[in-house]
Amino acid sequence: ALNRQRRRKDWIAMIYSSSLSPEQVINGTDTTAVESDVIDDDFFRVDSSTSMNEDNLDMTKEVQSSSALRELEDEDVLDSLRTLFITGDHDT
Amino acid sequence: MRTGSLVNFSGHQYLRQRLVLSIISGKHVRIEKIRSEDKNPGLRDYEVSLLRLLEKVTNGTVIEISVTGTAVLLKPGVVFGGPVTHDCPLSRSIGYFLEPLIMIAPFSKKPFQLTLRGITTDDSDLSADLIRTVTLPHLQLFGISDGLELRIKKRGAPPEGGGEVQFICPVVKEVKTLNFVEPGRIKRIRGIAHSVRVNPQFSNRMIEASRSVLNRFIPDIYLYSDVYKGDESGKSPGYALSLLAESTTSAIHCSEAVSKPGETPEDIALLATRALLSEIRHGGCVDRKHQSLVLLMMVLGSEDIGRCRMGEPSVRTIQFLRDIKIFFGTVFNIAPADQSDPSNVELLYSCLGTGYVNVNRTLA
Repeated sequence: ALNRQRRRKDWIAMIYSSSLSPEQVINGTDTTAVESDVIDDDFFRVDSSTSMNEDNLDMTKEVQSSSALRELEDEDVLDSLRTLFITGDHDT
Repeated sequence: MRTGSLVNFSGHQYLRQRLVLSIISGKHVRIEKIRSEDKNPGLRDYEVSLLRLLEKVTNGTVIEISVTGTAVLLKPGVVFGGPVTHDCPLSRSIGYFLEPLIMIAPFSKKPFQLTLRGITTDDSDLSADLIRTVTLPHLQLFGISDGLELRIKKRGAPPEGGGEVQFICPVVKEVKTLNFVEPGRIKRIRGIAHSVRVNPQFSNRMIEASRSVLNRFIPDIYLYSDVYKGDESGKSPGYALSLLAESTTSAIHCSEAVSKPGETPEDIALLATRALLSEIRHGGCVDRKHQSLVLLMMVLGSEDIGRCRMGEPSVRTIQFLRDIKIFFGTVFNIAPADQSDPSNVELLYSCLGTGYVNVNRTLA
């Protein structure tokens, strides 16, 4: 199963011949986490599709994910980036 | 113009890129159901303002907005350019307006001399600093360079703005085919720390915090403290750090963080710094925030195969690729950049240029 997940995405098929939303192309189609949020015992129901869009401004900068950036506080992770610089070790 | 060349879309998202593609391709575009389910339906003030600005820089453009504001029809005219001044509403920064105009400016009849007033830096769109230091060099890859300039005359922080920039862009006949496949290694880092109507020491504190992380990687780091005083500093207090990393092959990656209430200059600087490292790690020859601009210019290139190595597409880029196919019929080939290394997620984007020629250009 792990091997399957690691398999490369077929970007051309997903972009040009699927009906997946751009978000689904990036994050996959797993929406179970979203489904469980629905509260049944309320008379009024928030239409999650439009409330999502309300926040979805046409903006160029991506909202910076704090978890991804927290990873970069780790010294080992920072060290692993050295090869991307001219001063880093180029043998590998 | 071909008859029946009308493209239909639904929803408010991706409005800017669809207007741009319409103007460049000459195809009419109708966008419906603009926030039609929203309790405040229709176009926002900044979207109407962008449509008005597009009207100003073109000649013969027809824009029809429905009574409820939930539908708009654009029949693009000729990109005209020349001296134009526009006051941007304070609901969005100048970057929101400048980003789409940069895509159409090279294909104008006369060189753009555009003055925009408003907010120069915010969290949503490219700041005036990033446009000047990162976006414009991306245009140079396509042979758009002589006289290309963005001057930041006044800075304007949110919410009151008060900034002013001048964008000057040369006119080209056609754009060059891109072949950019070597990302190279990062050789230098540059940055601009600016602060307006706050303690000027804030810039220095941001620079020091950023250096505490970056110094380990490379010696060639120059972070510039940009001071704007008095009338040039706009109407509201604020500060930000804009960073860029340039590789041995002139690939540029960038990041930025803007002051927020309750956060220190050090917090902002570390956020920008880590975002830069994340961007560098993402790889490729083009920054994520500039994928769409580069892909568009590749489509408009001469009738030859253009190639560019980039990281995975962003959400916006995926929709942009789909919209390009609708307007121009161009489909990109997207393949792993390094077949032999399964851990490498970089991709090689290639397409056949459409051989787009700027017919608006005045012959000298």
